[in-house]
Amino acid sequence: MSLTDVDKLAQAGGEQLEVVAVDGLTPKGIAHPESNEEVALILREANAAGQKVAPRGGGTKTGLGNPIQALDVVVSTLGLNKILEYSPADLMIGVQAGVRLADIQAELEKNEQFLPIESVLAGRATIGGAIAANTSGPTRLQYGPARDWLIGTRFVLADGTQAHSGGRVVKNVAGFDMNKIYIGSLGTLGIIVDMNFKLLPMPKASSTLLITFSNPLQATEAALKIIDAGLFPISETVLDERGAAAVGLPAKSTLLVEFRNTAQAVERQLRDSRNLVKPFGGAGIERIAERDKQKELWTKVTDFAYRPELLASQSFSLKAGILPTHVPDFIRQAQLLGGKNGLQVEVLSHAGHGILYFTAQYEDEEAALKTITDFTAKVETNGGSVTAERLPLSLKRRLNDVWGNALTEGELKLMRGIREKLDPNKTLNPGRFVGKM
Amino acid sequence: MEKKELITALNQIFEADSVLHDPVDLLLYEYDFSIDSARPEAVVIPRTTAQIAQLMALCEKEQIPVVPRGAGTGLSGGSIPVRGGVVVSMSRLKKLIKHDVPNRYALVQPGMVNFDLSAEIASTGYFFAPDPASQKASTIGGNLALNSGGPHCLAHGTTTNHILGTEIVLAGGEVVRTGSPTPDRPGYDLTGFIVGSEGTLGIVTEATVKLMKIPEAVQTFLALFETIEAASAAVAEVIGAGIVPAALEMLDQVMIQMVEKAMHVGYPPEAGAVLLIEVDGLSEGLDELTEEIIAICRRNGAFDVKYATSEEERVNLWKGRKSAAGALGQVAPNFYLHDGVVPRSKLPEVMRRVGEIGREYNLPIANIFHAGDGNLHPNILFDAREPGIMERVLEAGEKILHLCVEVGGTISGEHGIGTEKQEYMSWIFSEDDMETMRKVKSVFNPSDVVNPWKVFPTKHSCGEISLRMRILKAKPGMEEAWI
Repeated sequence: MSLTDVDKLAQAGGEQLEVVAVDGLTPKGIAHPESNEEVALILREANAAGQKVAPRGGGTKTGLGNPIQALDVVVSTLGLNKILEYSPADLMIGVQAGVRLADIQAELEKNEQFLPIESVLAGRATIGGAIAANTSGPTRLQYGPARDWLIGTRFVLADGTQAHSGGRVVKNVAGFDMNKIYIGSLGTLGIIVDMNFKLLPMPKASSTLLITFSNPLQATEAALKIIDAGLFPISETVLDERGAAAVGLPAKSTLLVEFRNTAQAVERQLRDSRNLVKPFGGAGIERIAERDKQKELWTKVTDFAYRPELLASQSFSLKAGILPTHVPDFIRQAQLLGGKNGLQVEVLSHAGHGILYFTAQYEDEEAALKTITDFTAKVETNGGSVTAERLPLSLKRRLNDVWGNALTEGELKLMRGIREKLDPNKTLNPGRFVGKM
Repeated sequence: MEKKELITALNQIFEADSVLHDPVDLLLYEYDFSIDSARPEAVVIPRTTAQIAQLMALCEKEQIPVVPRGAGTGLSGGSIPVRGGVVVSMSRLKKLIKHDVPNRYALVQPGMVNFDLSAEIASTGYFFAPDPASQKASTIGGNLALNSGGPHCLAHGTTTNHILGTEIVLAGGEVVRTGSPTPDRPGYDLTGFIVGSEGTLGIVTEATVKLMKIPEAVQTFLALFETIEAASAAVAEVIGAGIVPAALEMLDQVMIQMVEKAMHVGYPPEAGAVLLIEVDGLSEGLDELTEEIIAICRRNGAFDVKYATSEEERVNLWKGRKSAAGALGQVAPNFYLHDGVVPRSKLPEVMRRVGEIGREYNLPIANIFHAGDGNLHPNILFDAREPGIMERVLEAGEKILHLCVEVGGTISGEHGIGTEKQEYMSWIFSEDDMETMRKVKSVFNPSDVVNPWKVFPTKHSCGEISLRMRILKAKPGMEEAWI
């Protein structure tokens, strides 16, 4: 059953509730609110009755988080599917949470604008889900994460209270910046119902360079050199040999760099980059100029941790947040640990900003567990963090915390405090967030 | 706790030269650049985070207000100890602890001056992007507390987009590190909530900041218009055309003439309004971008364009913009500076109505602001000694602010709410909105000991604490303020 069929069922009320299950728990029902008031009503009633709720957008991140402790109702946001306000002249858009990310981009493209937020499976992912999960992709290097683009958020608290933060303008310091704590909150602070975003004009030209190297260390050093030269690349992604093969490229250590600018500037960026990568052994330099070909490749890169063969098999995807200069070390660590535990691994890293994805298919759950815990410990010792983002339930249950152990007690105390203030009954996604709060 | 007891307790935490309590010594700390003032019981100037932690533990226990202070350049009363208590001057904590160029971040103490940070790392080819007009005096901690803006936040974002983590001391003395130089630290974005919280959650003792590569080329130019409306229309069209310059500032004639008389930096006194525009990036493509912007300006009536052809000329043009407040004293002894934001497409209409409000109240208004992101700074000029003028000034200002909200904007783009705009929060936030924010604030600062009575309306907003009443005792002389 394809993922799109699931949504159709859920919407039609055909109620094959198993397909919207979370961590093996099937809800008693699925709600399809079409207004903020309906969301408020559902939550108010559920909260009062001690029921547990999981919000659901496109369902792409249903597996994210620790095992949900209980589940009575899934609240689908797909009925909140309108673009509320689009002001091209102001480079601003207001959208409901259930609009698919790809649909937003399609609308903006008509005015040669775009929203610099990326997600895996953008054709399915909703903007509300993208924000709740704090998704990002390769272009984060230049554009920054979602927090740099969200300017207003309307949400419904667990007890049905409707509130908002921010507004419709790009500079706003009135009140506290609640937008920030909703990003990545995975529904635990309330259901986001609509948001306002800053937009950017689409640059006139773009090109992607594909460069192969003898190893990921050289690829990373070249990537950082391009940044340091002031060339302002949009994306820089390093793949190890198996990672490259996984996205349909020849099995070599590879650096992908994207530039977007005026045509003249792009030529300069490409020219300088070609020269810069040579001392690092950059060879086989290929330029991809066609928009569709670039889009195809970068989509595969963005979807790396959720690619079809992983979804169809017993596998895990880890996301690490590390310093860019540590990328080569942790690519090697991932490979070593995989080898030690008998797993074949693939690694991809957005080396310019320090996000690394480590994927592996496995047969022996013990080996997978060991790999994940050892890798997580090594990253955390070096000041980074690891999230076991996608993995089967039985493996997930064996982890202390899928979000890792990087947070200090001081941070957790503040976070628990916020959670308790805004959702005292743990009505929303109980147990899924950090520290199982 | 009696004042004498308090001073004794402070002397046990801090060195003798770090505790001030004599009224003469406290004078400087009663003011910032808002129209507000209040005297603290004492001022401390810590040397270490540990001292601050001990202070916070003491103040939570004894329920003594604690108010952090950077350079005191704030415009909304954030550093004013309205309930007395202890002001904590962060001026000794001003080191650049570490900078990591390949990983593009630095660890800084909050008392470090914004401009000094970029100056100190300039040789690496990187800088700290947020550039409020006050940057030669304001500190990183202050910028962080207010989520400061500045002309270049149009392209680079505001301070919050450049803060990766903090070390914060909470009421009670707990020291917590939030965020990280590594991306996607799990959990809630505590750092993002702390930035812009106006010093009401705790005292930040360290900040992890993002560093940006200095662009290789920059072009700065001045487009001259006959009217504010024409310049505003040009701004709206530039943004509407999908062009986001590095900076896009506007000054009107009142402002231009004052600046030119005081500083002789090359601003044309005959222009009704000027747009100060900057584009940066790779040198290829900058010419094309500049031409496009100028074409739009000319289409909207720009009668001349002046280019900065040297770094010195560029510095002068920016000096005219950033030091403008110092020039205001020529027209009137007092000014009340406002900070509102409107959608850029509404700029022409709003600027016309601001002019009308000035005429309606018979008050000169000088405009100098971040037109590119719709952040207005109308300056109402007056003489506080004139009988009855304060009410007119306040009313005119409120009308302008309300206008911003009417057209879909907000009541503060960068100066903050502080004590100045508490009463206007209800224009844009419902009681539920504010209660939600208060709830999260209470996790950090449960008994409101840290910088109390700021941001949210308090029942004490009326009566003797009201800003209106305090303004009636306004003081002149804000020559060194920054807008």
